[in-house]
Amino acid sequence: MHTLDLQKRILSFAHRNGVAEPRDELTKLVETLELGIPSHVLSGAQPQFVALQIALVGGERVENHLDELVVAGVISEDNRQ
Amino acid sequence: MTKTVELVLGAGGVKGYFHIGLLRAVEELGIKVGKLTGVSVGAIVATFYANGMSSNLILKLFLEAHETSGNPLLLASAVTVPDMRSFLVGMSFLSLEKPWEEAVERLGLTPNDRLRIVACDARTKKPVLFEGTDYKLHAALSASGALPGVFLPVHHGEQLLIDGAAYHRNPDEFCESTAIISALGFATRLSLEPQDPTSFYYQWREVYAPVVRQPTEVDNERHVVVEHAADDICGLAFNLSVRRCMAMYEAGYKHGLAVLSKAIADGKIDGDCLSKP
Repeated sequence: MHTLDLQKRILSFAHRNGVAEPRDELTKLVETLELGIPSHVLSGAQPQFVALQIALVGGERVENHLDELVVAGVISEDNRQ
Repeated sequence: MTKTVELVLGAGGVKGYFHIGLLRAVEELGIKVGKLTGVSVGAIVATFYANGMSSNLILKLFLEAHETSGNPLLLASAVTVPDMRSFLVGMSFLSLEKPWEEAVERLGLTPNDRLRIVACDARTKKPVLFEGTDYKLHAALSASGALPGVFLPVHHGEQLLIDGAAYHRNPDEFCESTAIISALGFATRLSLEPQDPTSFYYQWREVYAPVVRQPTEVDNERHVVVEHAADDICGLAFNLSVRRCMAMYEAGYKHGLAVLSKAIADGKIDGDCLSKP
């Protein structure tokens, strides 16, 4: 998947219904996948930029993780698009 | 206070891959970077770096953007009907403002205190600096790369701003301390590789009829200058192969590593500016 498409998918995941703090979702994603994105980027940058970094660093691993969450019913099937 | 080295990333279009290679060398040597000054493509690379993106991620993003650079939709988003004053300066129907506005928003890029972007006043040819956090980043990036004859200038109050390289291709005068200057050379001959007509025209223009005179001199005594040469590539070569892009990146890395290692050994880059012993 193209990085910008994956970034969009990550943002959609972080902003899904029921999430109060999208930034926390992004941080959890980084921690879960051990992506090693610096904490100053996670806390200081715009969510779009954090999602871009996650897409660039994580690539296919992030895609697979989001696919698993879709299968598990944690996030909606729409996230795949 | 932590000692750092400033970085100046000069203009040069597609040759910006050299800058990314140099940044890799900077990271590997553990050189602590303070303020970044960027012009044109240098401003783009500097913006990503100042926002916290590493060289390998910037490379990945550039390569992906390179794949889609021939997308007609991208070109269509830049087409605009200019006012007469803008047209007389830019002689074009292409504006970088809308594409950059969308990109800055989508990528979540922000101005910050580490970043300095240089544009040029079209009338006075004096530099216009974008510094701090209180300016529109998309306008600064658009202005800094608005090469007359290719792109329209950017309105900035009463001023019309054009490519910062029209003032200076590698402006080092704003640096408050020693800087590493990544300077991209001009094309001096035509390419032996096949080119599309547009790229061939720009290559011919850069070699034989430069429209904008671009000063390049820098203070070699004060700063560490890394000059990158790719004399058969012009800044507006749109159809370069990924192989050529990667070759520029690798060359920027290797040459940068050699020049910077020597500067460290000679003491021109202070040991206190290194995060590694």
